[in-house]
Amino acid sequence: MKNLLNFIIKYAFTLVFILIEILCFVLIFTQNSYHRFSFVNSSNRITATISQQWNSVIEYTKLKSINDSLALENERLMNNLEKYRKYEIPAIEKSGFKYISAKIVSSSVNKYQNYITIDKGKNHGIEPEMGVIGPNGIVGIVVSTSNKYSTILPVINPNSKISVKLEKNNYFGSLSWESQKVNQAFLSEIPGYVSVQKGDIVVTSGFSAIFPDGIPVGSINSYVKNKSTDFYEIIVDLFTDFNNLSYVYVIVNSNRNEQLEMIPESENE
Amino acid sequence: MSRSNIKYILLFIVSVLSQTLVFDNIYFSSYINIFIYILFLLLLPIETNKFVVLGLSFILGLSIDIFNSTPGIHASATVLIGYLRPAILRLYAPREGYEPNKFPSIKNHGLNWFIKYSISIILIHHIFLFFVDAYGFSHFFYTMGKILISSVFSLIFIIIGHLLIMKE
Repeated sequence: MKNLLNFIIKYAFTLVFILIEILCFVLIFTQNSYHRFSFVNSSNRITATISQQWNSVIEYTKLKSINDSLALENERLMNNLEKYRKYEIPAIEKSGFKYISAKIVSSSVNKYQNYITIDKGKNHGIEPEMGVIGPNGIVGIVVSTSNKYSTILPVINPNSKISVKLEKNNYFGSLSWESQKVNQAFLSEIPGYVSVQKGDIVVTSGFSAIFPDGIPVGSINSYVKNKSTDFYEIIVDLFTDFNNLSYVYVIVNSNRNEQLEMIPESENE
Repeated sequence: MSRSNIKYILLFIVSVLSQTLVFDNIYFSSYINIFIYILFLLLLPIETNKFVVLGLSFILGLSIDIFNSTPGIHASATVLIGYLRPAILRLYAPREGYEPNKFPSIKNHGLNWFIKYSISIILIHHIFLFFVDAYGFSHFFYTMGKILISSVFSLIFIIIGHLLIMKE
């Protein structure tokens, strides 16, 4: 007993250090998983409020680029609308998707574990597992919400995995991020017999209840065929510029519960 | 509460806010992450009780984590440098020992000494932080590149920050 006490006194500093390090690693491994607790994260009220105040100060410096991107987005949407104008669509089937616009409060792009915080939360009808898109394409998925803020897991986070397809031939693949470059992601699971070209457009598959079908994701930058598995390994240039993102849209899917119930059936087919 | 305590509380707040609001939003390249907030730990008085340094390191790291939604990652790195700081100070101690009631600074110990002392702590912090953030060694060379380049930038901004604070 006396020896033990002596030992503790002698190495108290190191023991305290080891205990705190263990605590840190418990935090890292329990909290950085996909569904994180909400007590320390950026949708936390105090830190999000500070970031938001600061953002409102420096927002003026970004106004020009925000305006430019909104104007471009309007142009694209108007052109899309024009395509549909000449058709008289009888009874439009309700798609069930609704968009909520939100402003980015804080975001990171040059880490491995990148996250984005937006200024809308539970009070505005946002829930975890909702998709998020930007003016040019897909951004990520909501992972946690507080009353006024939400945290988004962007495509540029190693935990992100999104079901996508090639626009021209509807072959499905899986989009992940390998940490090397911001604004580039990795597309796998496209079989080797499919014809793939540089510049091919990648869009969301609509398989998950999170994103509607056909949201732009990016274009193919380069590809190699893995000889042993006979699948392509494809690098995709993302359309979303994560460095200059100011506003995003959260996708609310009112048919989501029905769609989720359908999944087991379709898997049996 | 003494004058110097209040100064250190202010330094803590300035370190955390300048890191999370300014430096975390600066983006040149994915290789450059500037971590200026450890300036607070670097400047603590040399004779500060080592348990106090350890506790403050944890609080400092956790504050950054809360802003960044990265629970534990910064805290684990700052606690490590808090633990090693006394040994590093001993390693670089002048032959006749440190003068009492001084804190590590360019004015007290010279630019060379300060660079040696800071870069040791910055390197330990960055190596630990980037490998923990990457969940291991799977991107070893990329991470090493990031560590070396970021350390140089962190050192430059820490020295600039240190000079600005000394002026006050």
